[in-house]
Amino acid sequence: MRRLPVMLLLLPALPNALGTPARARPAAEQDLVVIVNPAAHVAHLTRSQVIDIFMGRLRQLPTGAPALPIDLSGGAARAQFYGQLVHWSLAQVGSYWARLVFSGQASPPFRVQSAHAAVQLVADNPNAIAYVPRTAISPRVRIVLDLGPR
Amino acid sequence: MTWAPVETLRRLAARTAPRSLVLRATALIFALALLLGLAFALACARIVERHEDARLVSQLQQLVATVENTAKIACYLHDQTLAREIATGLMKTHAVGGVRISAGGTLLYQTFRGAAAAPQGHLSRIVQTIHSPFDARSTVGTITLYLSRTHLRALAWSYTRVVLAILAAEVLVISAATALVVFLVVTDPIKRLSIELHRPRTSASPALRVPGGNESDEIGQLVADINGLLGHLDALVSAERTLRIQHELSDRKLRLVLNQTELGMFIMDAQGALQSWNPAFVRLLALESEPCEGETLSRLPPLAQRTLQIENMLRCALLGAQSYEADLELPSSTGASGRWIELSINPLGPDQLLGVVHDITERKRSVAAAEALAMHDPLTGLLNRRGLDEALTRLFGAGAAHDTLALLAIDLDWFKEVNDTLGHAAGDEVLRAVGRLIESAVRAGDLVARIGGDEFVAVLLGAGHVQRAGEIADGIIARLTAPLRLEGGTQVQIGASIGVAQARTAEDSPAALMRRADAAMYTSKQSGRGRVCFAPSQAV
Repeated sequence: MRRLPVMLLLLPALPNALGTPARARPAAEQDLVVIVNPAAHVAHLTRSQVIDIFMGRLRQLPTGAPALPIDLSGGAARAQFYGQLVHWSLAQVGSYWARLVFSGQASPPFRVQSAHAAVQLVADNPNAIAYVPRTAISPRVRIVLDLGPR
Repeated sequence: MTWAPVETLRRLAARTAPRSLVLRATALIFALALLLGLAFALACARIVERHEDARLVSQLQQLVATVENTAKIACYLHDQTLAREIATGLMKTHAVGGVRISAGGTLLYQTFRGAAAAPQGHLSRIVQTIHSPFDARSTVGTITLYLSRTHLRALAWSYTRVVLAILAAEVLVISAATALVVFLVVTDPIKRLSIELHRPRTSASPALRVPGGNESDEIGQLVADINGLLGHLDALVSAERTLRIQHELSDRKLRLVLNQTELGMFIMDAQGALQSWNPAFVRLLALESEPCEGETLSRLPPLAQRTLQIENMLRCALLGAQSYEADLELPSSTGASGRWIELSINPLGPDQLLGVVHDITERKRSVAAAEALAMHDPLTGLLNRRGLDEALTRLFGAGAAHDTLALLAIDLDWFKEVNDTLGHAAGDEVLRAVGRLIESAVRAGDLVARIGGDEFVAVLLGAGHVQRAGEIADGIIARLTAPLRLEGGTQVQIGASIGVAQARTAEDSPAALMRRADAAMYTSKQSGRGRVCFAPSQAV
């Protein structure tokens, strides 16, 4: 037994909280919705499809067009989104991306400063896909998944 | 125990092993322990290998658990770089012989230790299903870990080495202990017993001493047995010595007796070949030199004429298992002329005979003398009546040899007067003279007998003619009638009457002849004495 190698931790940065439900809950609950450009011709996305796109597995929309996920930087909405979508905290999400950046094969979603900017970007870009509070949407975007309140 | 391998081993050991119980026992136990130890170690290696296999597999499972989360991400994203990182990390554990990570049918990365590009044979491995990091129900790939055979072998061998070392040490210690124990318990008492056996035994301490501490065990038993045996041997030896002395004594006595005795004794085999004899035997047979051993009895010169008789005796003695005796006269050609021996042959065993020879010459002579005495008249030396009867019987029995004979019955005349006047001594002198005179009148070979006081008989052999017998009878009468001068100077005169009877021996008998002669003699007496009368020749 002594001779056995000490268990290898391949990636010490792997958070031990991985997979555990998020604890922090934003004070202001909002309805979050996932939106795309209507020109993308996507009527609806499943929760799984949204996860795949936002977590880097899928780089296309169901139509075959490239997908450009838009993340919000900071704020309660972001924490709520990942909490609702994959039950991860933001720290876990950060750790996830940090690991993938190291391998160079996947990159985290493009970030914008506000929900407004995100809506604007989606309205302008038929490849963009973003999550925003239901209150922030405009007619120029289409809701493909309603995450609802927490 | 007759278990064949053990027996073979024991014999082999006895043939090749050194000549010491200690060394042999130690070498045997050492070899056996070594053999068993090796077999045990081999079995141990197998068991250890199996055990280590199971243990390493569980270790691999723990190992997989530590990289599971990263593997989830790699499989989820089909990230080959991440997969390689995981595999490389896992390979740093020596127990891992190979890693394969695949996502939904696509091989992400695989690596194997050593030159092997793929796992060969029946390597132990674990296959772990990888789920999506976001959905535990969704499978995104598998990770397979192969156990390193080299590592397993090395591990098992290292354990086995330790076991072997321990066993070897144990074998050495046990062998040494065995040597010590065998020396103390077996060899040393035996050596002391051996020394004790070589110690000269005195009458003060005739028995062997038991080596100390072995009184009640097998060695004590052995000593007791040896003592019993020694006592028995001593008794046997002394009994044997006594017997030998007695035997020598009786042998010497026998030899003395045999050498001194006048009896000739000898021993021969069934064929009559001489085996041994005493000096008296040589003396009695008057042999010129000692016979050779193996010489045949019946061929000895003194017995050569009796070969058949002696061989017959031999055969009969052997067949009838009884003694046979014979009186033998030794021939005059040898140095023992006129000597008689009695030879008796007695069976000793199935093919041995004891012969006894003794000299019976004296006995033969005295018997002959007694016989002569009984047949003759002591006064005149002539045949007496019994002697005459015997002679006549012999003549008549002899048959044709003297086919005719004449018997003269002679009765003295006037003898009674001589006897009465001059005394018996003179009468005896007259009778002696008469005997001589009658003998002088007959031929040599004729018989003359005195059968009564003054009765004489002459038997003339081959007297075929009456006339010839008459002439002789007349001669006798003439001689007897002549005056006789006695020793004292006295002169006497007697006469004789004679009856003559003739006979053919084939058809007559002595008694009848005598009767006829007597009758003729009476006739002569009655008719005046001094004359010869003839009996009728055909008298019945």
